[in-house]
Amino acid sequence: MTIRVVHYLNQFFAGRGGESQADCGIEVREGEVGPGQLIGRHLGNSGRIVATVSYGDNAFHVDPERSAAEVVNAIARCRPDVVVAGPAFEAGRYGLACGYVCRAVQERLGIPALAAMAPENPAVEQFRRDVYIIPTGRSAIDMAHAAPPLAAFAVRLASGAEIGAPEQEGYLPRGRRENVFVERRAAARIVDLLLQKVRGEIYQTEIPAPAFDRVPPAPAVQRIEAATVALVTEGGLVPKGNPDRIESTRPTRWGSYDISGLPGLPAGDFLSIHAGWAPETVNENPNRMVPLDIARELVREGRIGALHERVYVAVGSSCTIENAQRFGREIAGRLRSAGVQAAILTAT
Amino acid sequence: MRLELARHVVQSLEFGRRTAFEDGRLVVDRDEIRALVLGDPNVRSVEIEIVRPGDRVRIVHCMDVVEPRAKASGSGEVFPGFLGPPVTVGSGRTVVLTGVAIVSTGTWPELTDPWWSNREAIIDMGGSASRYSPYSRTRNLVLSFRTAAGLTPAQQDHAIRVATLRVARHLALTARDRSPDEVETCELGQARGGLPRVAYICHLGSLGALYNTYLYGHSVAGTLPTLIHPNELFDGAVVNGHHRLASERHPTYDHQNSPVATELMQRHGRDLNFVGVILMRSLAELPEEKERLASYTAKLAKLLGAEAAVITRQGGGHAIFDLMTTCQRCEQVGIKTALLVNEMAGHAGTDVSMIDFVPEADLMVSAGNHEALIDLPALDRAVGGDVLLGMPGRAVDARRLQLRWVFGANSQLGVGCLTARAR
Repeated sequence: MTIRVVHYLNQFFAGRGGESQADCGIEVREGEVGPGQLIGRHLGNSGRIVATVSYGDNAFHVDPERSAAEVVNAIARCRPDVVVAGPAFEAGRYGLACGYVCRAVQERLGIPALAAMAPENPAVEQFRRDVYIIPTGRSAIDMAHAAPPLAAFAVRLASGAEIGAPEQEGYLPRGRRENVFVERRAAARIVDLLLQKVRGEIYQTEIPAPAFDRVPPAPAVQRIEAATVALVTEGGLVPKGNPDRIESTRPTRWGSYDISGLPGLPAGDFLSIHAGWAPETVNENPNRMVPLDIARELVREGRIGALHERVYVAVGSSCTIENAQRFGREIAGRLRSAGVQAAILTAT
Repeated sequence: MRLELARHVVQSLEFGRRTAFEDGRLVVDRDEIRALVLGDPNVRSVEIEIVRPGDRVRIVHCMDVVEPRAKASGSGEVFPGFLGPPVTVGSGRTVVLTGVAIVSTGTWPELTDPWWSNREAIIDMGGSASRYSPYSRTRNLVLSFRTAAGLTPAQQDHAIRVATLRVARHLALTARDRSPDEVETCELGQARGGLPRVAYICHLGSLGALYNTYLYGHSVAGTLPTLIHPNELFDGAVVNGHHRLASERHPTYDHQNSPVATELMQRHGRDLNFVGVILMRSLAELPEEKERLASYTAKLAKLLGAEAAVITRQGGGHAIFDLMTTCQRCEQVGIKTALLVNEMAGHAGTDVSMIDFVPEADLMVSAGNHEALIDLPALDRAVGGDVLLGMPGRAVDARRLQLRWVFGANSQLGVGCLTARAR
């Protein structure tokens, strides 16, 4: 079977002109154009480029989602088995356009797509999770090296073959963990690996060390007896009825609740909806999750300046890192604009 | 300690007039099983069904899975502390019915707390999702229990557990006088010098009622790490009482067949010297308690002369701190470690796999990402209930959900062939 390939280029590589032509719109041409000739040669008998779609670097980015949709519509009419974008080398706008196009092709047409660019291209960080990217050198001098793996991987994707690890297949790691079945069960694998470790042989962990986002603590508050302090919790302690409908697990939102005039959090009025722990003790006395009673005492004794009169509540249970980071930014923003100098964070 | 596992391979499981085992055929008399179970006034009713690999059936509200085993000789009873006094087991001969399992199902409608929103557990016997659960591959006798009114959830749980274990023993006794298909001898004889001394550190989760593990009938909560012989596992010394997060739950079946203990035993004297199993309670709430448990475990392993240890985790969330602390304490006293753990990398596999890590954890084996989305197909029939807890629609409906709801799919005891890879 000969696979049908559509190739995406920017206006420069499509031979429509340099920077002065970056405002030009979409163009569809039959067959291969520019670098497509080299890619087509490496496709050999396995496939051929049936059409080339190009767009100006500036024009594309006026509204990239819309431009990508326009490109997808044009591509759909060519009925390809796979879409190849680039190589964009280190060109930022071009690389991003390749990313938008490939992602939109996959999502809307359900056919595979791949791009090629330098690992330094800013589009890599933005699109590598969603799009297969074949690494290239930084400039078009590398074209001769970039074309063969690009053509080969296009054929692999179009054939529906199971795609292996990045180091085997030659694409940039997408930062994804995918479940796969292997031949031997985990108990057998772990004993093999442990024996390799004991013998001093080379061994390969199945889970690399996770990269955590280390947050340096803010400088210490100089005069805590004059500072406004806020209470923030990850423990899902919400007013009865959960007015903001914060999810008990995999949360997407947080809440903030007025505590002015309350000497402490009364049992029954606040309940923990966090799904990751047994909340009985805290539901009997919510102050053991958000220490309002003690904080009031500290204010009375003059040991802290004042208490911020809202409590901020999130849920940590199975929260994605992305959402947790957003919650943190949003809550910190509110605290800062309310003139809070310190926060006590409590957790399950 | 020498134990013979007399295995009888069950090739067919069916209902009949009299419970009996002959020529690979296990016949179950429903009335007899019902009478056995209803002998306990705390059990109000039980529905009994048979499901087989390939049936387009979804078992829901699963609580535990147990392999039929019974003592033919040697001290004690299987599941000591539940079915007999807690005398030491692991020697003599034990009858095993292979290829068949008892699956208990039940639920607690009174548990409305979000903490309990995570208690659904599914086994698909047929269809595309049946490849995920190890218990999709056994012929299953499904016992769907209702308990008497007025019991606490913990009392209900106890009644169902004891009833399930009783049925497991009862069925295995039918084969006691038959000649087995295979006899496997389990013992840790003198290993030749020079082989690496390897311990198995098995974490057992305990976080209160309905999230518990039992050793000789007693909850591991509050216990210090302890040493047992792998044969004790094979005789049911460890029993599951954990009813959350299905894919990483450790049913009794997997302790009876402990994959790591089995692997180490099979390689004992050949590739390594298996020095014993250390059971450590995990999921302790306080940091000092976690430290005490991890340090104690490393000390026990050192006293055994272990040079290396396999450590298996139980549960999610802060169980990772137990795993990492145990790893670090072991490595600090010169014991090389390998950790068996599943991942929580998000629906798309793009999140960080775990929330704690120590640099010593340089060798981890993955039991897959339990947050990955899978598609359950529509099936013909559901057993154990009509709905999935906390989810809309009918139990038999097609739906996309996280792998974490599939019983045993991400076992950290090492049962499965599922792993996660960088892509």
